Amino acid sequence: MKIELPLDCELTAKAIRTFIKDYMDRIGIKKAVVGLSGGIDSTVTAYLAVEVFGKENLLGLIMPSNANTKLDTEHGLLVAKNLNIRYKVIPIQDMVDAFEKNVGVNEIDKVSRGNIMARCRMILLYFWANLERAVVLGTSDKTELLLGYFTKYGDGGSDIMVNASLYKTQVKKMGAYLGVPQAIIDKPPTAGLWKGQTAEGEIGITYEIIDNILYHLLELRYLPGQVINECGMNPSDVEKVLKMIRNSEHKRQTPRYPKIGYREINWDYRYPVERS
Amino acid sequence: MTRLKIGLAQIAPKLGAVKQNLDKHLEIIENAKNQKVDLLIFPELSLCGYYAKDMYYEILPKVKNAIDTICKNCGNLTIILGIIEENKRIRGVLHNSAVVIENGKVVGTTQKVYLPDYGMFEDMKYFKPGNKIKVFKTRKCILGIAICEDFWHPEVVHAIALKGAEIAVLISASPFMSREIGEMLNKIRAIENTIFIAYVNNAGAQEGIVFWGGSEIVSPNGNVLVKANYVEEDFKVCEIDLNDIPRVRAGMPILRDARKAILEELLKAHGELNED
Repeated sequence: MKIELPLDCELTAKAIRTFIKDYMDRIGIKKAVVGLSGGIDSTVTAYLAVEVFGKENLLGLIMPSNANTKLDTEHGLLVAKNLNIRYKVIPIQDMVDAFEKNVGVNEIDKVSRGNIMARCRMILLYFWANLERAVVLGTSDKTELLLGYFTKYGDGGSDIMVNASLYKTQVKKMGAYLGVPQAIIDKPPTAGLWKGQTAEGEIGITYEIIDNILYHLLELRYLPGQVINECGMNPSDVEKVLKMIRNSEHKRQTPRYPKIGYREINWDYRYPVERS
Repeated sequence: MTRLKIGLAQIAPKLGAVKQNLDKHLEIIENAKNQKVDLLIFPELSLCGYYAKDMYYEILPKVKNAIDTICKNCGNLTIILGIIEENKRIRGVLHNSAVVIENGKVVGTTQKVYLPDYGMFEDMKYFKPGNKIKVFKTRKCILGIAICEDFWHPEVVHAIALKGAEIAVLISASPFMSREIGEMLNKIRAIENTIFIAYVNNAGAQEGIVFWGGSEIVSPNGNVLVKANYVEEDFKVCEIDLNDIPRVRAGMPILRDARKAILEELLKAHGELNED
């Protein structure tokens, strides 16, 4: 049986905003840049963050490519306008094309091309972060992070992640609580890396099912067999989800390196983030 | 006098910023003096922050100096706060401790006995556990102190009660996900020992850990007498009547009925565990 993932929206929103505020205070930065794809994740990120940074200190970048629909851009604009934040529309297709022209490879597959797009957006976000002395807000949710459904150093590149403790269905619930337009909540999630791509279509399982499998495996510590037998999940779905989690571990961690000395960074040399 | 005023100083310490945290302590101490508070309680590691990692070693001298300053400013207050403490015999060995301050000097310290090392917790990585359950006869009451993980283990507060304390002071850096259980435990510990619980949690966020706040005083029969806000800083003052203790114990003689023979069964069971 499927369950609805629990979420106390009010208190969780307060906790997330408290986290953002603490990080800002520690590194002494007042501004943030967020990419607005028009999807639920970046929208909820912006809705949560705007209260902490203030509308004048949050910059939204709308960065369409040929893989995006007009509706994506419209929804990005809608978010910027609803929140009354500063925004810029920067089409990235020319940059992607220029990269492809100069990269020295004739045929580029759609995944590699999609990753170029995601990384172009990352470059733009950090460019504006440099200009404005701002942090880049990561928008990935817990479901995407666990499945590895993001581009390493693309949309995976950020300073802090706002939604990373919420599963996709919880992000939607949070969106509804925060007053996100229904059209954005109801839209099928997409990575926007090629035309017609939808996350559920590509993975072949609905987010409702994926979240149920993940929630039982991770939060409730069910074994895979128990998720199949006791929750009635499809064995091939569980297998697929497990494989995606395992294969993407490298994307969720900082790069490994050999521990040679007594006090290696992050192994034995361990400090909180700060800037004096 | 059987009545006393307790102040719950639910602060959000800044990691490693002892001076800044000390200033906040002093400010609240003045406020508490104005409100004629008798017993003022700050949360776990209130002078240096909870998740300071390798900073602990470097800020130890600053914490020692800050304690001296608080002693000089304590007035008629009994003050409890969370500190890192160097082992009295072995230099360079740290404890996660609470200090009791009164009449311008340190009355005593108590060391956290259960140091969590599971999941996100790293107490055992930095601290040496204490082995003693102490009670302190202060100006207005007899109290014992448990630090965070200590009150997830029933024997700590039980020992505090059997040693004659009227108030079990619980100080913590309890993260967001533990709120519901934490609130249950406060009530349970109060009832199973028919003792006042004065609980003070951290607020704010440190390194992504959000503390749920929600500090409270629970009466010996499990009623919440005062409650601080969730997540954010708060300061609550509440007057309690220590005569409630015999009144409740007359009807719920749980401590009267506590039996050594049964506790010895517990010890025996532990012995058997260790034989395996």
